[in-house]
Amino acid sequence: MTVEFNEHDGSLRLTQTEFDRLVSHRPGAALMRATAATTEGPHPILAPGLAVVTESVCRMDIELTDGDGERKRGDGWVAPHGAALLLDVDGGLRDFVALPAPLLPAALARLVRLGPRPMMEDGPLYIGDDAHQALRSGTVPAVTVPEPGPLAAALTTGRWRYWAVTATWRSLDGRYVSAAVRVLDTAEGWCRFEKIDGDVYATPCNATAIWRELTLLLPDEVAPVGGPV
Amino acid sequence: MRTPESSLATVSGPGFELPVPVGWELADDLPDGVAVIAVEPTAAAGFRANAVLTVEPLPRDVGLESWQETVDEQLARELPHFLLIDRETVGDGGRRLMRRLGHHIGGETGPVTMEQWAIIVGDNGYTLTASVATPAYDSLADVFADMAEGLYVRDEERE
Repeated sequence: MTVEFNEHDGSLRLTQTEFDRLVSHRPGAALMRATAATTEGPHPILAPGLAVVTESVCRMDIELTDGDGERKRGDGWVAPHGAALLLDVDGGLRDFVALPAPLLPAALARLVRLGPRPMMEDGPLYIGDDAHQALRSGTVPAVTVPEPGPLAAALTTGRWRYWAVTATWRSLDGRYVSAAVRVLDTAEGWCRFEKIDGDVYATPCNATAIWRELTLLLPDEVAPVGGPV
Repeated sequence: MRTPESSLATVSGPGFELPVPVGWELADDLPDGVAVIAVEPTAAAGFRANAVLTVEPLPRDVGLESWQETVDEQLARELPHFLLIDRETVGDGGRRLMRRLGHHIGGETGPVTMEQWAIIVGDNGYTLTASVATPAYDSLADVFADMAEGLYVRDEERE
């Protein structure tokens, strides 16, 4: 099954290929058989969410990587009239969800399981770009620090989950602007990845600090609808 | 970032002091158990940010953690789509407080971020609840923290 659609609640699970067909108004047999679309267009309950995709002024890229190497991706769109997410689920399928834009931080927080953790009593740890990329790809990085603390231990045990949300939009002066939240979730606590003077550091933090960053991801001002993102 | 002292004004009541942002409206008619209601004068993000200080008598054998476990259950039950984001016990000048950050979505309010600080003094539990429209949370988070830091409750048993 490449398309699962519930016309009562609008839930839609499908492959990326079928999603692309749906957005571009080229539905194939699978979409029509699932009643997600007809030759006239998408099901009315899906139309507002799909309009967010085609009229988006901000794009989001979501990465989730477990310490065991399992990776999932997500795409997000924000338009003046709403937001939408397309998220990997098992079996090569993706869930499409439309929602009001102000609910995006909470939707992302639930997705990444933002919640209370202990606070690591540790200073910023130099990670370097190679180790950061290793975490993104789900491999245990080689982190060498003079005095290993709880953060270095958490990184090397592999009991962690890396996630990142990057938002990109076009500002009113036409420049492309992006903002990102990059986080490691460990049993010992949260930490954020930050670039300081060009180097990547991991800094322990609490969930409140991450929530503040998530609420700031949405742009205040964007280029008018039609700006390619 | 610290809130400039001139931006906060202290509200006093029986046995307590609480700094609130200058210009916020104070409710006169308070229900039982409510010591302060301070409300932002305008709804910048569609919802007027506010701070509420409540006082409730607690049985002598109830400690901060067990009291707050009950509150956790109550919030999850009563607030629509409640999401607990953060929860920590913090020490502040010899006081033990519990800080909680949560999110809920009301039909009329939209998405709201609420931050709470709870403390037991004597036989009473005091809770400061600060709420703001989620898109505006970052702009008030430090103000809320300063309000909590400035909350003073007199322990009459010790005096």
